[in-house]
Amino acid sequence: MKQKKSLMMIMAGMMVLLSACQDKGNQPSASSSPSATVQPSSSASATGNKVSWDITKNVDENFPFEQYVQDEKAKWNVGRKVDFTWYFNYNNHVATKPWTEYEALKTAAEITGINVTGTIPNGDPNEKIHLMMATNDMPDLITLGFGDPAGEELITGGYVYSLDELIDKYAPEFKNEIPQILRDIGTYEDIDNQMWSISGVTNPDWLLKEHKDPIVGNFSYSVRKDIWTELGQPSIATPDDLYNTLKLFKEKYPTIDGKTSIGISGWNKGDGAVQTIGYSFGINDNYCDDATGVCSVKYMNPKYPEFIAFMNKLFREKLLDPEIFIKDEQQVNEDLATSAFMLPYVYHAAGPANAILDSKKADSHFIAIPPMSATGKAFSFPGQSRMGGATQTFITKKNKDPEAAIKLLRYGFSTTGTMQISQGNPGKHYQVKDGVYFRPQAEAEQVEKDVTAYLNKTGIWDYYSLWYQPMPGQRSDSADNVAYDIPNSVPYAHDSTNESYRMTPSGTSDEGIALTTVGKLADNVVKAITASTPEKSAQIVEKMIADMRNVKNYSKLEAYMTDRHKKNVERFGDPVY
Amino acid sequence: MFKRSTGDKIFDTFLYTFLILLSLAFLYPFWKVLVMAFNEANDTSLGGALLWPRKFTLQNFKVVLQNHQIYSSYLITISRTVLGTATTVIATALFAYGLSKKKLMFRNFYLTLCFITLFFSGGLIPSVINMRDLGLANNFLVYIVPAMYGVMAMIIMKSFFNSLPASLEESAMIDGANDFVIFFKIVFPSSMPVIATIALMSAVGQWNAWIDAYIFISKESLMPVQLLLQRVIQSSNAASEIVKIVPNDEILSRRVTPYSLQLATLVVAIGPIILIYPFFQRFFVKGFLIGAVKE
Repeated sequence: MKQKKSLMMIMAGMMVLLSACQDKGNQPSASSSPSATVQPSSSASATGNKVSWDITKNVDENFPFEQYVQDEKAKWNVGRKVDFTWYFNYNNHVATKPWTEYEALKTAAEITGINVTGTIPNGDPNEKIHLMMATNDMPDLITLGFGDPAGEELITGGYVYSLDELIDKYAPEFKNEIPQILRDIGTYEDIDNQMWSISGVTNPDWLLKEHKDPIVGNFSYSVRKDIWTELGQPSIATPDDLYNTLKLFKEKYPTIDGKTSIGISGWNKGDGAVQTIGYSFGINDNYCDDATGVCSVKYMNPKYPEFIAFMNKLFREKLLDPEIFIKDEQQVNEDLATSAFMLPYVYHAAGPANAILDSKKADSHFIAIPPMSATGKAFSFPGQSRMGGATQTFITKKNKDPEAAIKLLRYGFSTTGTMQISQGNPGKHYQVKDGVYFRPQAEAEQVEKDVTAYLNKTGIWDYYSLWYQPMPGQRSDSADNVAYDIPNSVPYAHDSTNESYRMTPSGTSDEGIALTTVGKLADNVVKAITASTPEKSAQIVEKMIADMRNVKNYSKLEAYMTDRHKKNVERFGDPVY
Repeated sequence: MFKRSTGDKIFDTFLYTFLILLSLAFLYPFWKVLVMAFNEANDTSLGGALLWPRKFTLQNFKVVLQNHQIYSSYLITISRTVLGTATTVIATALFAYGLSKKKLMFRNFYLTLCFITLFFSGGLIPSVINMRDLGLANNFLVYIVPAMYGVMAMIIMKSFFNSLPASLEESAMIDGANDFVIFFKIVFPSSMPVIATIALMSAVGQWNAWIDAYIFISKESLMPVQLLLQRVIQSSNAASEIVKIVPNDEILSRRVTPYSLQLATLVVAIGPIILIYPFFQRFFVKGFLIGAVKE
């Protein structure tokens, strides 16, 4: 789950960074554009010798950058020198030097008067955040992954400020500027109905409803293109089709390059290794009964035994890698580069192997194909939570200057601020034509050459906890998009906000402890899949589910999930776009 | 003269074979890391490079050594090893010398306190609070101060000091030397075997330590090489440390892979101590025998 979240955040980040968004002729209306609601105004008035500028309309190489900085300073500078430490509770935050050491972030520091230094956990983020709470060793700001249960612990433990409280006190204008969706996500109605956090990478309404920006999914059934073509491009639309395709593959390719061929490859702990196939059975991360509205863990899904029986069949007939549950990523990468046919997993997992495969034989890389559905209905994988975004940011009570902190957030969610922090200096790092932003040629070439070096130099896009897209961006097909066949995975993903938002209870609560115990019992999934007979497999699953129901406080866990899901539906509606 | 029977010879053959195989089992993982670190990344991904690099390359090391963080981490590791070892030896020796004197007031009380720490620790959270309150969090001194004194090292030193002839100190005292002069001019120079042992133990410990940095340090400028290694090893294909420290065009062009870089970083991180260790290993053995044999 953590890996999935991480990959989703990375993908969301890369997509926006590379501006893989919309076409030019499809812009938001003025009424729904966030620039009308988030930002007082991004234009400076043309008085005296002042040059007018408006980053939402046109920005080119002649953009009056000095004037822009001066105007922005006049608007956002806190009037004193402030240094903040900002902790990110995930390992993939890159910019951990002070803002003043990055080209783009330096400008943001100059404008606000606030210099931020990012920090990340050295190891397990969950351990780190709990250690910080236990010792009350808090930074000035904390960003968690979207829906992280630690958020509730930060609030109930008294470690963070209510944003509403700080806004009322220091920046009342901000209250009206915050889009409703950010307010909804950041409000903990079961605690006190106050807004405690603010989300980054939430997709604005105009982007979703007017642009109908296609959701991008991570999961896919990837197959070796050359082998699949050789087999006649068989469909895997149903479990029988998938089974027959794998049988056909094993008959035709008992070995590849002298190694025993592998039908289905993958890796992860426990049933995570076969999670993608579970999705095809309609087994999402949680199960909600449409008829009763009761939500529980995915193992209670009536399709779960059928899914395990199918996997057991694949295992017994050696169509599934017999070591799928014990192999690590590197071992699987070796298999993918040599002897594996299918990888039902995140589409980019085959990336390292693709380069090697193509270097050995042209067009032999993995491609995503339309996935199997065992539900008899149109099927899609859980995609990103576009309404929820990717992050939630809190201001801690150890913050040295809460007034400056709330003003920093206000700046970060303003049109100019969010563009400055995530896209860079106007005119240099990004330009705007006809209300669409894009990376100028010289900068785009640097991104293409070495995106990491570019991020390390500019600091762009690493503080996506402050990203709220204010205008359309120009589409550019990156090498990754083409190589990974992203278009093939697009139609098979749905927004997962309702399914994921705070559905995991705090680990220290009764419900959280019950969930942990359920998770331990779920180790039996591996035993069930690898059982020697279908009967033994079914018995193991039956007992596992019964044991899960008997876990202490399981009913409380079910009640929590049901209540949370109900609130999510009430709050977010049906997030299908 | 003892004549070895056929049974003895068979047993010895079996024993030597077993021990050689056992040694190989321990050595092979290190060898495999070396083989894959010096092998072309793409070729490693195909598997089967087990005994020798099939396609020798230095590219993995070139990329790892391009990263400025590894140099600053090395500097931190070398600094903590040198300073930490020196302060540990001096502080522990002073403490052990004091405790070796039976006339020391409350000696048993001090020893009891020391022994308690062998069995019980303060726990993670109190330790973190303690270090933070002492101002040692995100401070280089967190590598030095808590490591200055260790009970095991103290016991070994104390045993050695007890074995020194009392006449050495008595004659110095008659010549007018005070306790510090006796310690630094007489006892310390006479205790080089145990000093070398403790210094080696401390140096190896300091070089390999990462948990203190893992818990107490968030500034990258204070990150030792072992923590950098830990970060690189836990990093995945998709993101984080490996992407942060490695030029992306290297990854994209597949001249290197995250796995090949992990292995190269591993060699860079543990190589020096592995190369040095065999030359000093005898001190380890000697150290643990000090005071163990009574005549």
